[in-house]
Amino acid sequence: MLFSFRWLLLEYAVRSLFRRFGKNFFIFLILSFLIFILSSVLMIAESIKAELNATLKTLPDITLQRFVAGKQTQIPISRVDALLEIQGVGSVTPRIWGYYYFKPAGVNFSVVGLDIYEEPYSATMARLIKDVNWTQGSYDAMMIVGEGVKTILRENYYNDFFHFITPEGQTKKVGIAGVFHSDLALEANDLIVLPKQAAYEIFGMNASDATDIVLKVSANVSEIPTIVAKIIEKFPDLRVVTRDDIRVSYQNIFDYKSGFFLALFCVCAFAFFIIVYDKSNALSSEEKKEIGILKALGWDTDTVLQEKFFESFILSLGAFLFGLATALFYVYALQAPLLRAIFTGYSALKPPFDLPYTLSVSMIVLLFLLSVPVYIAATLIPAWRTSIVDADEVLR
Amino acid sequence: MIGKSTARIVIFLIGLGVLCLVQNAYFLHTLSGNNEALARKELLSSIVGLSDLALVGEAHYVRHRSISDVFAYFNESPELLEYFPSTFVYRYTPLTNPSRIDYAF
Repeated sequence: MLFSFRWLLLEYAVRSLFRRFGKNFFIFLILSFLIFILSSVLMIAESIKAELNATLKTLPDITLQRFVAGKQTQIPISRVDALLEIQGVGSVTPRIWGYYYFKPAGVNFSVVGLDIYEEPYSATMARLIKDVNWTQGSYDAMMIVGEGVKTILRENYYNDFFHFITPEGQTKKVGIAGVFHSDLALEANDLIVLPKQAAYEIFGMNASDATDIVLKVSANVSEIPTIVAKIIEKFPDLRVVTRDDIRVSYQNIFDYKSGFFLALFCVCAFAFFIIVYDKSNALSSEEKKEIGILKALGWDTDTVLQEKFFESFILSLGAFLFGLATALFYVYALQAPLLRAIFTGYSALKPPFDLPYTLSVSMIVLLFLLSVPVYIAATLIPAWRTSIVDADEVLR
Repeated sequence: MIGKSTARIVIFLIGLGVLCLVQNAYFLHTLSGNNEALARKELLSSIVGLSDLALVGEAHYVRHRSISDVFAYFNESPELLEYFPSTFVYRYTPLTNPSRIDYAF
């Protein structure tokens, strides 16, 4: 086959495509559009997933949250010692963090209490912040904010400081020491980092409590399930979230959203292929006549099918490549207007960001298999039906 | 040997393929982010430890999938029912071992 490639047959197939240009061009457009939509959605999902996975490995191995009556509450810091006694636990850190609702703009800020100007943070923080100025002056404390927070505060006339309102109704004047680097928009847009003491006051929490406790496992990651079991046994009111749970839940969410589109695509593609099949099943009398004439001229079924294969292969491969090329341009050059909103949604504090480029081979193979072979099958089967009938019967 | 229309079609297909490859190379170069930016991101998330992206400041699971907030009186709105397993962080009991998350460890 390879050595006796029938170039003339290919030429015949190409001309036959051009002879029915209108119909074939329409099929080409529809098929490309279907592939374009599906691959765009899959690419956007891949990109956001890549962005999430980039920082996943730096998250704590285990997060512990305390539940009382089915609701998450504060966790006493005194439990840290008991947790440290468990074999395999490397470090235990109680965290203080939460949301602060800023009514005038209707947004939630994520407030994290960290003593950032102390070791070990002070050296590393310098890499993350731009134009930092720690002079405290008349403020109660200093904070580092994300770019989105800075913008919202400026719109509300807070240029250098912000008045937090504590649950007791008092105000706490916190100065803005610096802004996180713009590369960090996706991670730090809604973030406010301030000293622990200030965070406790803003949330009105007891200094002996923490929001949650994070653990690092000292050496062997495969010990995590055992450690989890020990923790649950010791403190049945704790919920344990491992890093892998978070990873699996990311996977689920993006599978859900892109799977929704895959399901829609399957319906569209199925309808499309039925139409193609149905149209070529009742091949127009002209096409039937053509096959009849070819057979009368001495072509065997094999050759007719080969010619039909060339036709449908050229058409579907062209549509596939065209759909893919336009999707690449739409998603990464134009940054996917409209479709991107399905994944990122609307938010008053939405960070500006570029979809990072990732392209997985498995996705392309999936798209290829969903479009090209199915289309070829949908056109070959009717052609085979016609071509096995005797020539004189078809021509009559 | 190759006719004019065949040549045209073949060139068209190869052209599309090349277009895909060129875009691939270009975006790989411009959009895949530099190491410095990635290092910063990893540094921040290791210090702060919040898992999700700051994309939707209204959702209760934005920075961690557990804390409800002022917008979510119902954890999810009544018309958006929770969808298992997509809207959950979950851990299977040690007694069962569903194949879905076998690869977890």
